[in-house]
Amino acid sequence: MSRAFESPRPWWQSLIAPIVVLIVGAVVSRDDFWIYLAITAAAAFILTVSFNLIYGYAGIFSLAHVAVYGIGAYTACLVQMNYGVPFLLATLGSMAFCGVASLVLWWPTRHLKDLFLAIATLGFAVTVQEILLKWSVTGGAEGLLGIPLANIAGHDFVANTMQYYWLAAVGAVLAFEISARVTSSGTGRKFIALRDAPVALSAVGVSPGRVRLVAFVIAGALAGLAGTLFAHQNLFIASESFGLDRLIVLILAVLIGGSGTQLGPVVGVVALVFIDEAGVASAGYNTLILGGAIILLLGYGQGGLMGLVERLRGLLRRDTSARPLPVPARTAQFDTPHTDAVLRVADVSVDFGGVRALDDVTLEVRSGEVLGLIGPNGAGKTTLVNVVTGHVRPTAGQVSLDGTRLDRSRPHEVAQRGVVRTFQTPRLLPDVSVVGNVALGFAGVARAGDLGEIVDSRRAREDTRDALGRAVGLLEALDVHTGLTEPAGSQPYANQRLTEIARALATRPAFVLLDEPGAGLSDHERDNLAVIIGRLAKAGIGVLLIDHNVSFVAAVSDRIHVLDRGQTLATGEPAEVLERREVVAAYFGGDA
Amino acid sequence: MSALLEINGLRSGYGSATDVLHDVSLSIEAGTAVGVVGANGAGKSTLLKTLAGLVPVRSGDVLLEGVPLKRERPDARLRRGIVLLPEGHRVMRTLTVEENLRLAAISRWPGGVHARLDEVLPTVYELFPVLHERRRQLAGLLSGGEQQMVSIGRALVSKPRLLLLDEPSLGLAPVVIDRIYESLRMLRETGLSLLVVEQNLGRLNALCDRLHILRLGEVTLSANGGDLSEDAIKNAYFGQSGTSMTVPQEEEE
Amino acid sequence: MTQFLVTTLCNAAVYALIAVSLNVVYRSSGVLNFGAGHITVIAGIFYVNQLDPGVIGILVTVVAAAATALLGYVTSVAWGQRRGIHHVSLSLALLGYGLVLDFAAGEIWAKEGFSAGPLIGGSVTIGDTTFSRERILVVALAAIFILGTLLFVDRTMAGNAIEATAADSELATLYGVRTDVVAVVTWLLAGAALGLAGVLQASIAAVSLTTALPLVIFGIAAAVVGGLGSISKAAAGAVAVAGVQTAFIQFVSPRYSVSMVFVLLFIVLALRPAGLFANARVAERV
Repeated sequence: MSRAFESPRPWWQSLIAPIVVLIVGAVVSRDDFWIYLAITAAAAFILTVSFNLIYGYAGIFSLAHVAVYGIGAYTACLVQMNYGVPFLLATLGSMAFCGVASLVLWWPTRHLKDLFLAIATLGFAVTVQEILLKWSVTGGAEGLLGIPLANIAGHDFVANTMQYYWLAAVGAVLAFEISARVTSSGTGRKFIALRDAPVALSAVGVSPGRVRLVAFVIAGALAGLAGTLFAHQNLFIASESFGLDRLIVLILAVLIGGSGTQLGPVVGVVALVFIDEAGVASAGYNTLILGGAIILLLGYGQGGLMGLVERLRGLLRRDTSARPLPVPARTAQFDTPHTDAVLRVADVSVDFGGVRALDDVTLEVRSGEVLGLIGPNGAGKTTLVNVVTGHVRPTAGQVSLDGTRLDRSRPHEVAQRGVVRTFQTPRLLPDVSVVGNVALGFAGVARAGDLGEIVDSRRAREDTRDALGRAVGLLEALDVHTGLTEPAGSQPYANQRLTEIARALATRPAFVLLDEPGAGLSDHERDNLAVIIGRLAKAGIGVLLIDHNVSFVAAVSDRIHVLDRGQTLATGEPAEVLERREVVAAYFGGDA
Repeated sequence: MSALLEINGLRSGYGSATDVLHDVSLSIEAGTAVGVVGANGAGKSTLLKTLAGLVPVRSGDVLLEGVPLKRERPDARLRRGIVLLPEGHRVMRTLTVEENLRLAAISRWPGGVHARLDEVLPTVYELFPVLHERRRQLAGLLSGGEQQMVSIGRALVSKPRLLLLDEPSLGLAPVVIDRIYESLRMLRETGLSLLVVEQNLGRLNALCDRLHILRLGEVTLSANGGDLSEDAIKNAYFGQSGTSMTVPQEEEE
Repeated sequence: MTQFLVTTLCNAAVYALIAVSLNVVYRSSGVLNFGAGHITVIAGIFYVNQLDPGVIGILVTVVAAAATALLGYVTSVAWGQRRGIHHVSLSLALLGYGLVLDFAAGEIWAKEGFSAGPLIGGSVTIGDTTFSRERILVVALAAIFILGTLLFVDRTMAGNAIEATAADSELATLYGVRTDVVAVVTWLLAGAALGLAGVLQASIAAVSLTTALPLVIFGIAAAVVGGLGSISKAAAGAVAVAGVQTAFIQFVSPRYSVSMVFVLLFIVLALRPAGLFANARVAERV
């Protein structure tokens, strides 16, 4: 389970990398070959960490990562060789250029689904390789020779010496620190959400495209750093080093270690270096080993070595008592900054390839009122919610909030405006704790800026503690007292529903659309839910409630709107609407 | 007469999620129609999917003529005579009516497709003449009611002993529902057994020999068709006594 | 002009076969066969080295390629599919399979380029251009195969079963369709297409292990430009890709032929990911 969501970074985490690097340095300094391995490992570590960020944590299948690594290597070398730029500046410049290249990669692909993203990035990778191979500037088929030694303040860092090791080690420590900060920050949580439940991101008002951007740029810049260090170690680079083979090895490294973990890259790098050396030794068998390993790890494996460790830990853990809460609870406020708002659905129709799911539906919800939406199965209730939240575009009609149109907006924009929803099946991050899931809801209202969040600044950490505290408070207010620190996926259905509702409330919305929250709940749980909905309305939040349990809806709603086969059947006060023959007939069937 | 299908203490659910069905027991005598009603989330669809082999059984057993059904897949269950018509009158939209029927035939009798079709098509077209008219039309272009007819037709091609129908009236106009239920009644009279799941009570009361009410994964009430009072049904359905819904006086059957 | 057309059509023939193979597999298994380029190239190498040019040679190659593709499905995809492993991961696993094939081919035959002897001799003159009959045959063979596949899926009952399984596999099992048998047939068909592509590529140009990845990119580009999943549009996509590529080579520069296909692919993905020839439908997000 991912701890990133509830525990702040342990203070000693920043010491790990320097200590390891010092120990390794001490051990390898005797032997030239060990030094060479250590330097290679350090550069490989930076690359693996960067790929772990974009693929392991953010779940982005960027097959172009090695190409960006290559761009970093070539850029740093070329600006030094052709324009005399000093090493440090060239390195920084190369990292920046890789960030820009990643932007170019990101922009056209930002809304593409996984497979198309993989295709686009693979094409990018193959293209970059072709350019590196054929362009005279990059040395063509011979590659780039005569790369100057890394030089800082007049001092040369000769390749394959301890001095160069320390240089590479600094890079490795930097990469580890950045990765550690990012992954335990709000940004890291967004990465994980992007990977495991992108719908949850837009549900709390965060743009998935933007999260992808951050992942691409950070990972790209780090890849550039890795490339620079690699180039100044070998003093010669050619396009072969940045091709498919390298990509496969990189994927393997991340997979073997365990993607999406902090220690994974460490394990992975050891494996990577081992594979490299074994490859050199076994010459021809390299491809076979890579191919076979990829098949095994992707087609069959899950979680790599770190995943195995986690599972073992899970098996060994006898202590079934709940883990302590990360922070004390803060009282939940249900109040909303919006009052006297009106959410209006006007003459909305939706066609799905020949089927009219909604036909000229008009309804309205005001702040502080509960509108019940009922109707037999297939009536179009969920479609209506999808139209309001931007998941489906209406064929005709409009949705507006206080006069501003909503139906043209993307789901995360609708959430930002204050209209949030829950789903028929809760969309939670199954491996993240319950309280962590709710804390995600505060992602849109953090005080720390983007940069602060990425590096997990003090203010960002305060935000996190704040969010966690409020999350606990919200959960308790919704009567969820147990399992707060357990993975959400393991909790009973009723608690999962309430968790999702709490997450929606965390965004302090003006309107909450609840899609069948009562399904699967016991009588007592549903009664409790009714009380909560009443409190929401009293606090000024407008609620649209869909449920099949008509008496539940009737008891809680101020007004009821009945849909049947996409059309409005009746609307008005519950007692009055439910007396109507058409409504009863729609549910119980009647005579023809 | 021993039961055609017997379900004892059935518990099932999806993937690794919590149980949907907790403890369902009921039986279906050969040649009868059994109805199951319940609100959404009660487990009606899950019950049918479990019987059809789409959802694994976690505990309890399902016996077909006294023989327990193992972990079989839907196509194997079909060969045993259990055919599921899923909700939403789902058909193969990119195939014509004829092709839909033929697909069902070739799946079960790859060697004797034509013989089987010669045997069963007249029955299907007699039951639903409009299908004969529209036999070369793409199923996706038919109306909901016609699609439901195709669904029943292709089920008949598979020579079923027990038809599982998931909300056959869903999304259909009352006149069409009449037609469908009329055909179900006729099929029952030919000796076919039916298990019909609905949210819509009225038709089931007329069609079924036995009714069960499913709530939160358990059977809460069972009675012979036509025996249940309106209040009893509402209580078992909604789980609360004294609802604010009133039902107008129904004409007696 | 005719020269341009002939070159385009010949390349399109190969790309179209690969695209059809990718689409068939994508529709039924939901994965993209990243190893398709390797299967194609190795089929070509096998054909050149082990068989005589001719009908028998082509048939043997096609069968061998079909078996190779099926083996890829069984080893790399089938298990993961049942366990719900992400389809992109399985697509990459197929790339791994391609690498294994790469190794095997490297061991059996040399790692160099191979060209096949002509299937048919002679030349034809149209207008003022003369070109070999071979080229026409290549285009004809590809066209026949693709048309045959379309007819098979559309008209035959077995083909209907495949189409049905691709459209709604759950409903297909409820109809009684043996979806595992369908999977086998699908992958055999996909492999056969790649086998023919390998033969044709060896006949009009050359096959070597280094062209495996570019070839699958071209095939993917053709499939995506036409509209991923559509067998009929794959041919149109292939012609588009081949046309733009040939034009680029002839009028701009012959050096960056892979890169420019990628640029085309990128543009299509950015603007119309459903493909250039897709029908406009009601927009549905999420």
